[in-house]
Amino acid sequence: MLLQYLTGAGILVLGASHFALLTLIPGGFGSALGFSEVQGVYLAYGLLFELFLTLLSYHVFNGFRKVLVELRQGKTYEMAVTWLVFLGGAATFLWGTRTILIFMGLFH
Amino acid sequence: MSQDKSEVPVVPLHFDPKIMEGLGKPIRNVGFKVFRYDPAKGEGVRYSEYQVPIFRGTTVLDALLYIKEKLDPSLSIRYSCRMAVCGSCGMVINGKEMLACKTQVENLGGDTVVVRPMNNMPVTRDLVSDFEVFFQKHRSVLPYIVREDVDLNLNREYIQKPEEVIEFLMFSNCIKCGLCYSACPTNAMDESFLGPQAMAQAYRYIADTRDGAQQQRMEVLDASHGLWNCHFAGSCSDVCPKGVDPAFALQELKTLAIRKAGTLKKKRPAPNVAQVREYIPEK
Amino acid sequence: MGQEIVVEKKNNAGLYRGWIKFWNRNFERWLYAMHRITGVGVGVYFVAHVWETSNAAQAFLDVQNGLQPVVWTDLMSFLTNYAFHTGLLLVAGAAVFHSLNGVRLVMAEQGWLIGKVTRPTYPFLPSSLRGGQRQLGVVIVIASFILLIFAFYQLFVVALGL
Repeated sequence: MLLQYLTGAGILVLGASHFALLTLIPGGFGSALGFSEVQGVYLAYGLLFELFLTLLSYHVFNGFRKVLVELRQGKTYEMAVTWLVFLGGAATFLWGTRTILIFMGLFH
Repeated sequence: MSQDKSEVPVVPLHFDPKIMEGLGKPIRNVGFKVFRYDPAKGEGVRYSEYQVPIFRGTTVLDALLYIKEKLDPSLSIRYSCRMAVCGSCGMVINGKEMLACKTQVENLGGDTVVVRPMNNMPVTRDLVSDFEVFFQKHRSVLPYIVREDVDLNLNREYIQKPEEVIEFLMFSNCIKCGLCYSACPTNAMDESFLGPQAMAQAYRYIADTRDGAQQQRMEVLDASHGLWNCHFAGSCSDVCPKGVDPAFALQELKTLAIRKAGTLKKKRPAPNVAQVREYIPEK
Repeated sequence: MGQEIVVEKKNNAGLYRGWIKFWNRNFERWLYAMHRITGVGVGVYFVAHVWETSNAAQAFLDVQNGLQPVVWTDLMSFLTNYAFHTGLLLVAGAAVFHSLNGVRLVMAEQGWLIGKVTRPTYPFLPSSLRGGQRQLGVVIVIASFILLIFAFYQLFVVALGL
């Protein structure tokens, strides 16, 4: 539960930055997502995205696990949910990492 | 010397007939829609409807007893003290958990009152619920003072300051009515969840300075389907008729599990009266 | 002698009466229900967003090979419409509410703003539901609406020229 708190706090900060960068730049949301604007993601920015992805992958999938386990109980079911959620989280994390690496020009 | 009756001033008494409203004769009739289930008959669930005359101050329990006495003797209900101290008459009235003896029909408003047995507990018959699992969960948190030197203290009182008593006093008011257990959204789907009553009682003993088993209780609480399945919906405290505030106790338990874990480990049970008077050092 | 009990009926509140039917309950129950709904909603959006962005990332590989980032520009023009921006507005509102309510929950669960122990007296009102966390909850709902208005401005006025 402590991890859920800590990842939540991290997501709050990074999520607020993500929203701010999309809306508080000149031109607002309308010009935030043009190709030239999103190109050339430098290392620190990329690492922040990676951190955001990590925290979100844990927080979101652990949240899903809590809701699913409260819906139904049983040893087999709970183990299946835990594995499913872990695999979903890992897959999302890996797929997102690939995207970030491409954005940073480190993936060919 | 006797007073001449003609000298006594005659003051006309002003009697407002409104103060007798609802006492001598009923205010109105209210429809009661009552959950019925009789396993012996094998019929399944049905709702029976009755018209009950309501006086000023008529409680739902009064109305159910009227139904039982005059309209349908087969209705099964649990009640005892009629004054909100025993916790026997807990039911779901118009969708919310309440004690039937404490709920006045006029305060509910409307022309129909729907009465169901409490949620999350099996129904034995009609409005009577089975508390077995509820009591099992209560027993699992060791709801009594536990300490190593209890045999030495059989004839002795423990030292406890008034501020130490206040720390657990409101949680000791629990009457085990089950209303919080019925209102809890986690209990609605999760049968393994300990429930607000058991965990509030666990806190009542952990917070009691006389007790020494806080670690054992935290092991039961800080487990799967324990403490962390509470998400502070607060319905338990909202429906509690005695101000026990189980939601408060649960959040304090979470604080003890994380932020104040150190204080829990350092807690030593309160000494007894003789130890302090004879200056016997605590072992 | 008593009759042996034949079959007791399970009477769990279940999904509808336990989780979904929150409107006749206390304010904190509303916040609990909204926290769950917004959490699941933003979670599903997160997975979809990672997948959608990864598809568009092909544009970066194209640019490295000297081609135009057609995949990206096509996707952006496909997604710039009222329907999708309405969805984004809901996601933004949900994310803001979930974060702020999460802060309130962390504070309440660590003992802040839940009032203090009292000697119970009639009418036995609970201190945890009257402490600062309820007022904080109201502030959070208002703040979420204000930020939702800001998001509406960005998504519809700035981006779509409404």
